[in-house]
Amino acid sequence: MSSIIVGILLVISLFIFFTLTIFINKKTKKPENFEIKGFIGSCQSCEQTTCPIHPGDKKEEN
Amino acid sequence: MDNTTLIAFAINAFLVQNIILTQFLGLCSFFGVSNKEESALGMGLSVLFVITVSSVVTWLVYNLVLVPYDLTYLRTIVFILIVSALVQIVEMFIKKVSPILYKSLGIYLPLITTNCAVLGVALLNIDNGYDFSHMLVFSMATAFGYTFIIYIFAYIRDHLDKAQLPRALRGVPIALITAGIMSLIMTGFI
Repeated sequence: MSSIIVGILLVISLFIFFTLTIFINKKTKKPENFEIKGFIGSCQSCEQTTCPIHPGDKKEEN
Repeated sequence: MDNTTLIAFAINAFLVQNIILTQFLGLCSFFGVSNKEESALGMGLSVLFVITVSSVVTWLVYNLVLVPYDLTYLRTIVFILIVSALVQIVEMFIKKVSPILYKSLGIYLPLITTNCAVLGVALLNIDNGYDFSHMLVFSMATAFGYTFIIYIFAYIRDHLDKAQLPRALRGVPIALITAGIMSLIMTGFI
């Protein structure tokens, strides 16, 4: 009987801890869009029109 | 157990029984985040942290709580909750420390929760009956193996993107062929 109570308490406490981490994570401010000066090496050969890493940035014309 | 045996055990977990190419766990993130080397390395390090910490916590919870109270049938749900909470903590940390990495990992960061490699390592530790030192070595070596392979794969994919390939092979098809060849190479160790 005591093992069932321990099991229920363990699962409930872990679930509360998990919910708490989600709650705190949601409260944490998301990083704002930032500008990058020039393009990093791996961007040189990129053919995509919308940058997945920096959606607001546009490729500079040479 | 002496150090030589422990090193052999680590090499076995790192390369011979590689979690991706031999055991085929964690393939979702393996294909999803291997477009860029930076993202692959970030994902690998995140998984490294989550696997190591979750293995220690799950091993302790299993041996100190679940076994004494005869609750081993609860291990799956308990392990999933532990892994999920750890992933949330890692996400918070990366969001604060490296916004670039946070953006490049995107949806794959919370998806570490459902990465079967993390839960797989925790369950393998229990099923194989490792003691604490073996569990720690096995978890870290496996996680390093994951990071190593995903980084190599990202490097290859980066070069394949610049190669002149037939249109039908560009992108995912050539990635799948490459992964298959890499997996075949790993069978040479068995």
